[in-house]
Amino acid sequence: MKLNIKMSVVIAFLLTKGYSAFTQEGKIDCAAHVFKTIPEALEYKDCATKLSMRVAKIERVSEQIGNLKAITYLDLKSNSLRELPASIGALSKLEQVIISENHLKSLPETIEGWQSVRFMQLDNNSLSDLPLGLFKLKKLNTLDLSWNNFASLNSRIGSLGQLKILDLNHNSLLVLPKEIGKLKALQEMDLSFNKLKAIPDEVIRMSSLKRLALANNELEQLPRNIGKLKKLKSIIVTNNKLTQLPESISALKELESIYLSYNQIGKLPAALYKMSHLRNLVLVGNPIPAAEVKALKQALPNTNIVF
Amino acid sequence: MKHQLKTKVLLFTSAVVALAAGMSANKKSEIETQVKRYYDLNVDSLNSSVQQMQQHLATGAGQASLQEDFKKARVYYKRIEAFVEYHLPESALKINGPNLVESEPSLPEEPILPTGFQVLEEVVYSEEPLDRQAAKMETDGLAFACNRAKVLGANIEFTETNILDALKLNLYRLITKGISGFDAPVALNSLPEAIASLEATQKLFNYFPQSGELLKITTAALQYLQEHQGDFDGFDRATFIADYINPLCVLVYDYQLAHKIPFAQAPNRAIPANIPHLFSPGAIDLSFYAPAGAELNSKELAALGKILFEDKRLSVANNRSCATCHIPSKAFTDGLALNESLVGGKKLMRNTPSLINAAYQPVQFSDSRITFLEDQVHAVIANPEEMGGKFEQIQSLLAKDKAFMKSYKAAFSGKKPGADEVKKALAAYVRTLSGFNSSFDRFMQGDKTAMTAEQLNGFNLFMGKAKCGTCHFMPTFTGAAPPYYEKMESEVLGVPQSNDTINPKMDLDSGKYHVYGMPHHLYSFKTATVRNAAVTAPYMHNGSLKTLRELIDFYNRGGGQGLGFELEHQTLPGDPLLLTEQEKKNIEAFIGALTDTVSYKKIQF
Repeated sequence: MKLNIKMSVVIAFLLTKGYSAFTQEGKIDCAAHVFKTIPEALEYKDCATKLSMRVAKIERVSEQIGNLKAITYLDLKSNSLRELPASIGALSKLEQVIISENHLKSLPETIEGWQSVRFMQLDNNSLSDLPLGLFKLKKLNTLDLSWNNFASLNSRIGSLGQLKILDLNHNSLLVLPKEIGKLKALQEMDLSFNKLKAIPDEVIRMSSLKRLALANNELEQLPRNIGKLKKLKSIIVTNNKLTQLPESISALKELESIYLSYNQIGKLPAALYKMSHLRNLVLVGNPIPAAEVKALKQALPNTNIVF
Repeated sequence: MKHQLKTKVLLFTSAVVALAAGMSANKKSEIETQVKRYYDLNVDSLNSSVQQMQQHLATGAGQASLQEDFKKARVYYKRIEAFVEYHLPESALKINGPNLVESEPSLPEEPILPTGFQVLEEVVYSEEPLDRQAAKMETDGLAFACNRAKVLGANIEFTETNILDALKLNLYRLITKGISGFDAPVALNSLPEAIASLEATQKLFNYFPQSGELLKITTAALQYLQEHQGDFDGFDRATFIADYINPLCVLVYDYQLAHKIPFAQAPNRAIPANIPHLFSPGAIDLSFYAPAGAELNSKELAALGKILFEDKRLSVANNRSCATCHIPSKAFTDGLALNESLVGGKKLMRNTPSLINAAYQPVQFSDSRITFLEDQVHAVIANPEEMGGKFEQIQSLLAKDKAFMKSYKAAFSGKKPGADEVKKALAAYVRTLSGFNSSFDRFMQGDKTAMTAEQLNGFNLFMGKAKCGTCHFMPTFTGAAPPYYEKMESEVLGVPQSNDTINPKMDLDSGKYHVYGMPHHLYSFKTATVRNAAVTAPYMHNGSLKTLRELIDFYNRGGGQGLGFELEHQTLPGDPLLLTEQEKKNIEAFIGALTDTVSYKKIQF
C-alpha cells in the first residue's frame, strides 16, 4: 500500500513536471550543451544557451526560435536560408551570431532586439543593405560582412561606437560614408576587393586602427593625413592605382608592414627612409628605379624589403 | 441588482465568445492537420513515382514509358508545389529549378550544375536516342531532392495564414510561369499541369469552411482549362487570367477579411500578402527595392531630385545632366544606340535605358552590378565617361546657389548638401517615375475594352508560342522572377553588333561576366522591361536593333544561334519560333498596349 502511494506521488510528479524534465533535464548542463535543433532546445527553453544548426540543410528557421529567450550563441552557418523569421529579434541575450554561407538577401528589422550581441558573422550571403535596427546594437564589436553585395554603407554605421573589427572584403563598395570615421574603437578594417576609388579623409579619426586592408580596389591616393592613425601597424594596399604615398606616413611610429605591390608608385617619399621600425615593405610591381630601392635597403637595413 | 444582471450578461457573453473562439481554434487546427496530411500523402506519392521511374529505367523501359512516368511525377509535384516553393525554396530549386548553371561568387569557376525535372525533361524528351546514363543520373538527383522535401517537409508549420498565402503565390506562379511553359519547355505539358495545380488548389480550399465561392470559381477555371488544354499555342491566356484567376485571387483576399484570417506579415517581399490580385494598383511594394531608411513619400525630396536631374553642374564640365541622356519626352531614354562618352571622343559602352519603372528592378545596369538607385546614381555621376562629376565640387557649387538651397532646405534639415543627399534626392525622383497604367493594366484590372483583339492575340502569343513571357515576367515584364520578384534573371542571347542580318557579327561585350567572372555569364545581360518598349527604341544593351520588328525577328530566328553564331551558353532556345507575319504584328500591337500613357504624361510635369 505504501509503495502504491509512493508510485502515485511519482506518477503525479511526472504528470505535472513532464517526463522529459525528470529523465533528461538532470543530465543536460544547459550552460554547456550545444542544442542541434529548435524542438530539442525548446524542451529547455528557459535555460538553453547554445544552439548550433551548422550545415543542417535547413531552408527556413521556425518562428519558434523566438521562444528560446536564454540563447547566447547561435550558429546557422552553411545552410540554405533566404530569410530569418521576425521572431528571432526576441533573442535579447544573444552574444554571438554566425549566419555565414547562406543566401540571405536581408535581415529582419527586429534584430534591434539583439541588445547583447557582440559578434556577428554574416559573410558569404547576398546582403546589399542592413536594417536600421542593426545600428542600435551598442555592444557589437565584430561585424563580418565579407563576400556580400554591398555597394555602399548606411551612414549610420558610425553609430557602432564599440566596433573593433569590420570586415567588408569582397563586396562591390563604390564609396564609404564619411561617418565611418566615427568608429573610434575600430582596430581592424578590411575593405579589400571592392571598387573604391577613394577613402574619405575622415578615416584618420579612427584612432584605434591597427590594421587597414585596402587591396584590390581602384584607389589613386591614400588620405593625406594618414599619419594621424598613430596605432596603425599594417597597411595593405596591393593592387590599386596609387602613384605616391603621403609624406605623413612617416608619423606612423607603430607601423610594421606596408604592402604596396602592383601600384604605379614611381617615387617613394623621403620620409620613408627614416622609418627604421618597419619590418616589411613590399614594393613588387611598381615603377620604382632599382637605384632607389638599393638606397632604401641601405637606409633601412633591418627592414625586409621585397621588390 | 441591475449591476448583477449586467455582470451576468457580460460573463455569459464572454463565455460565448470564448467558446466561439475555442471552436474557431479547433476548426483552424483541423484545417492545418488536414493540409499537413495532404502534404505528407502527396510528397510520399511524389517520392514513389520518382522511385518507380528509377526502377523502370533500371529494367530497360523505353522513352515513351519514361515520359509517362515523368508526367505522372510532375503532377504529384504540382499538387504540393505551392508548399515546397513557400517553405522549402532550396528544395524547390533542386526539384524544379531552371536548367541553368550557377556558381557561388567565391568560386566563380566551379559550376553548380542544375538538377531536377527541367534537366531530366531534356533527357527524357530528347529527339536523340535516350541517354540512359544521363537519365539515371538526373533521376537519382531528383529522387534525392524529393526525399529532402519529404524529410524537411515533416517540420513545416502550417497555419491558415501561410496556407492561403502559399496558395495565392502559387496562383501568381501559375499565370506568370505555369501557363507560359516556363517550367515545361520541351514536354509542353503546361496546360495539363496547370489543371493538376488548380485541382490541388480546389482540394485545399475545400478544407476551409464556407469556401463555396472560392470553389465555384476554381471549378469554372478548371473547366476552362480542361476545355482548352490541348491547344497550347491557341490558349486564351488573357481571358483565363482576367476572368478566372484574378477574380479568384480577389475572393481569397475577401475570404481572409471575412474570416479574419490575418494576412502573412512579409516585410521583405515585393508583393505583399494583403493585395487583391497581382495586377491591382500598387501591388508591388516599392520599398522592397529601396535601401533601409529611404524616404518614399517625401514630395520635397522628389522635387529636389527633379531639380538635380536637370542640373548640369553634376558633370565635370557642367555640360551634361541626367536629363541629357534620360530625356523625359523620350520616355527617359535618348533615342540613340549609344550616347557620346565624355572621354576620348568615343561612344559609351551601352545603350541608355528608360528610367520609367527602374525603381521596380532588383538590380540596376545591364550587367546587374548594383542593387540600389542611390548607388546607381553614384556610379553614373562618378564615371568619367558618363558625367565625371566630383562630389566635392558639386557640393560647393550647389551650396552657393540660393534658389537650389531653398529647395534643399525643404527636403533636408542639414545646412550643406552632401554627396549622400544628392544621391538620395535623385533616387527619390526616379522612384516617382513609376508607370503601371497601360492598356494592359487597365484590362487586367477589369476594363475588357482596354485592349484590341489584335493586342489580346499578341499577349497570348507573348505568353505562349513566342515564349517572351518566360523571361519577361508579368507584371513588370522584366527578368525579375515571380512570385517574389527579388532575383533578376539575365540571359545570353547572342546580340548582334548591328541590325545587319546578311553578315551578322556578334557583339563581344562580356556583360555580367565581368562582375564575378563566372563563365556561364559571358555575354549575359539583364532582362530589361518590355513596358514602354514601343517608345524606347533602339533595343538591346548596345542599341543595335532599331525597331520592334527587328527585335521580334531576332527572337523569331532563335537569337544569336539562329543568326549562325556559335554560342555555347545561349539561354534562349536556338530554334526558330515560326511566327507568321500577322503574329509578329500582333505581338507588336501588344507591346504597344504596354505603353503607360497616363502616368507617362504625368511624369513629364
